[in-house]
Amino acid sequence: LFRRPPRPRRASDTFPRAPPRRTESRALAARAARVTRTLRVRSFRSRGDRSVDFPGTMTETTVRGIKGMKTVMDMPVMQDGPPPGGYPSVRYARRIPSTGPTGLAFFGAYLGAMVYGFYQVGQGNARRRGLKEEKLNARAVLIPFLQAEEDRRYVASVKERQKSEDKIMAGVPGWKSGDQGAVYNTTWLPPQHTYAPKMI
Amino acid sequence: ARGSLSERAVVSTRSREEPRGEEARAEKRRRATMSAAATGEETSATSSVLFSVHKHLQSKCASRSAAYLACKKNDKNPEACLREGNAVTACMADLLGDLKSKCPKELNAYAECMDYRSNTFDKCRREQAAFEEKCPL
Repeated sequence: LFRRPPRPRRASDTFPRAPPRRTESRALAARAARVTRTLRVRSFRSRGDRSVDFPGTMTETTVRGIKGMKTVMDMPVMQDGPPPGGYPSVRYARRIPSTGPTGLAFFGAYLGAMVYGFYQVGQGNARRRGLKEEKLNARAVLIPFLQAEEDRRYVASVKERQKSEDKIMAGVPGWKSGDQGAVYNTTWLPPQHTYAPKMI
Repeated sequence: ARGSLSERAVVSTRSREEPRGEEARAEKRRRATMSAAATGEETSATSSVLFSVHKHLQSKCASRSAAYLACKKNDKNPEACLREGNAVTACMADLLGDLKSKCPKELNAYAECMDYRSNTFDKCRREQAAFEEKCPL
């Protein structure tokens, strides 16, 4: 599930070194290199540019020349150059280590988190179901008590209504107050009061 | 008690036709001056009190409730089941009186909590535990 970091590489990916100078003689090239080394300093004078002391009087050859040189190409260069042995190599290669958890490990973590999450959701649902059941059970228990109260009130109200109707229709011959005959024969339903009378 | 719609008791709506006339107004005035117990009107507990004691009601008044519901199933006419209804109410009244004498403070605390929390059981577990410890089911 985990990958170890890779072993460190050798410093082989460096800038290409300076191309070899085109000289015929190796000894001459070596002498030139030696001279070049000594000339690698900052100021012109300390670089060996003696022409500074003799302005306008010396050629490049007298200033920079060495014994046995045949062409200008054999002259040691007077330039700011690299230190002996060259500069240390610059690492430009990418080193992106593939360490740490693998993709499978990540997927496993996601899966575990989701499983845990869904389990918690289920637990919460079960708990809420229990609360709902408690509430509904309480309501079911209380229904008979409330209905009995309402029954008494309803019967009393029907009696009051009938009495009032009797009083109102006392003079009318053959008037029978109250609901005359049940409309429904199999089950009892309260009389339909219309709060919004409409013309059907 | 829970079942199909045909088995449930029908809770009729309050009648809007209140009896009008001189007699009714006189009766109303008389009732206003007298106390509730004197006029013979029943005083019932509020919803929070009923929800607080519903477990006790379930255990103590189960038989009478069942009888009332059976009568209702047989005939839904209110006039037919007045006797069973009165028995049910009497059981409730007895129970409430009993609880008020034995553990008034705990019952009051629980009922007040339920009233404050709009009859949510989950919010009053502490008061419920104290009440049921003092007056067990």
